Amino acid sequence: MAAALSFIARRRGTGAYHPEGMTPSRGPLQTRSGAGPSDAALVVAARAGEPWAQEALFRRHAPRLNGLAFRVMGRDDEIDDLVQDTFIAALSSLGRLDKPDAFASWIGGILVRQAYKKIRRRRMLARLGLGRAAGAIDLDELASLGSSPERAAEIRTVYAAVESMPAELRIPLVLHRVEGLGLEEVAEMMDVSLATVKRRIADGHAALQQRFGKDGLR
Amino acid sequence: MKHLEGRPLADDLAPRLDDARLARQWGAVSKGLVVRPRRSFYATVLAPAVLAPAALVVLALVVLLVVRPWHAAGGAVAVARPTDALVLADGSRVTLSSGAELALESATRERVHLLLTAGAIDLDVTHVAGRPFVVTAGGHDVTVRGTAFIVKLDSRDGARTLTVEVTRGRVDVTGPTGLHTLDAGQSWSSRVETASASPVTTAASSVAAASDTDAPAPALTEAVEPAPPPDVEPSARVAAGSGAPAAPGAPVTPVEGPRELLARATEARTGGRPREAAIALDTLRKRYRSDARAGLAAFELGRIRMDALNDPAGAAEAFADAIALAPAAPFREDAEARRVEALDALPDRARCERVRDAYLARYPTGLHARQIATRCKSR
Repeated sequence: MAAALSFIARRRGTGAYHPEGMTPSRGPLQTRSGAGPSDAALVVAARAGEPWAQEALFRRHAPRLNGLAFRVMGRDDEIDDLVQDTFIAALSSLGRLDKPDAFASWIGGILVRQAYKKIRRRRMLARLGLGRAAGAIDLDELASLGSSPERAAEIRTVYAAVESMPAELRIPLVLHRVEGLGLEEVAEMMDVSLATVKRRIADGHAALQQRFGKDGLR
Repeated sequence: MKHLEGRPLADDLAPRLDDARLARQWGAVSKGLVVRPRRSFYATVLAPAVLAPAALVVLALVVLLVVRPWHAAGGAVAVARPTDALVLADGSRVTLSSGAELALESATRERVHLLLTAGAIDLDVTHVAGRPFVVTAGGHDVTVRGTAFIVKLDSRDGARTLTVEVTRGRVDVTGPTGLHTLDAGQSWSSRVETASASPVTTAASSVAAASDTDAPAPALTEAVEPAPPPDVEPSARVAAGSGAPAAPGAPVTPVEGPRELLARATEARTGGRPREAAIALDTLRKRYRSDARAGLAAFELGRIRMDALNDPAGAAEAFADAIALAPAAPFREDAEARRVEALDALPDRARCERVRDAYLARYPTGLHARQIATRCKSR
């Protein structure tokens, strides 16, 4: 999973995730080395009840998790709750994190599982007529302004399709197709077996092809 | 189904994210963390009700069965040989060395307090939020913050020396010589009063609340020095920034540590007093330049100067300082981008362009690349 998150950060060029920088070189609080506190050091400090360490972990990982949340949920108006719930869950259960230097991948997995619950809940409420109307996703707002028209169209197509999929298919498909993660990385993030992920992604692709035809998506 | 242009779609999918939104999110998270204690029935009722008495019973049994002889009068334990570790219900371990004398002053959910009157104990303490774990020895309180450490009282040639060695985590030592914060790998020792020295009266809660003076406190074994006159208060009063106890007779001023300064800045910022926040952050980054928080403080200072104080020149300087203080910090890209933004508001176009080009060269696909590329244009 660390590889998955590392990949995400590398592609963004955010520098927000540096596995190689996570090795504490001077004990819990690095200072003069210029590396700043590693994730491991911040986790240790946060576990000891240091509020600044909790905030530092948030500042370091929130931008990446907001991006991941946005792409998994497919809409902007739900990511605040998702990111907040993820950090609250993570920071209040740091004691369960076996490897403090794996914080980035650990919290990414928490977010994906929280998103899974939210999407299921959203679909259930929609079925009961209690939630937002299906199709409320704003496809025009999804792609960034700098996207080429072709890519913007591809994004619209994918999200128009996944919006109607159950969470079991939607999340692995987005992680694989949009985030660009490998099957094993998706399995790690979702905490399911590789076989399950393969099956769900295949089902997701089948649903896409059923909707748009084989050439609907290049 | 290949991605167009060979890049994952994620590259073109990003939420509208700005500082204000992140600040709102953090506000909700920190609130949620405070309110969190919505624990399970087991954690709130069963665990304290069952585990705390069980822990006391186990501790008492182990002490009675393993550690001898038992000094009933003072409730103290003295051992003639090293013991196996005493394990508390929360996982904390206490190992007594040969010749150690230890009294259990209290062990409740609110506080654990041990009194060491001779010998050495080796502790590996599980951090429990809100529960001070204090060892008193030689007139000093050693307050635990979830850590592993050794407290040793040596008597030699009529003099007694207290030594504290931290192997993991952090502890505060308070006593007549002031407050000393020890991190992992550090040790501290000091000559102390006679064996009958009574425990210092500083309450554990006040110890925990005492200033984290950044006191580079006793980098590896502080020289043993005589105890200062009794009128020197065991508190966070240290010579400015040095971490050394104030000299007798010298004017003594309380010094805020980086944590206090950061907390004060946060409180001022959230309370709508940006100028006060800026002063605290400026003090932090200038006074504690080797602290891990100095770079972040400089970055925050830049943001406040830029966004709230309309001081782009000051902001540019602070962002540059943040980059110099923490060149590999996660916020570096933000600091560089914000520096360009600040310079864009100043007349020096050439400088702005240099910094902008440096950003774009370093982060060609960075989060702010598109926006930064539009900066520093001639007016």
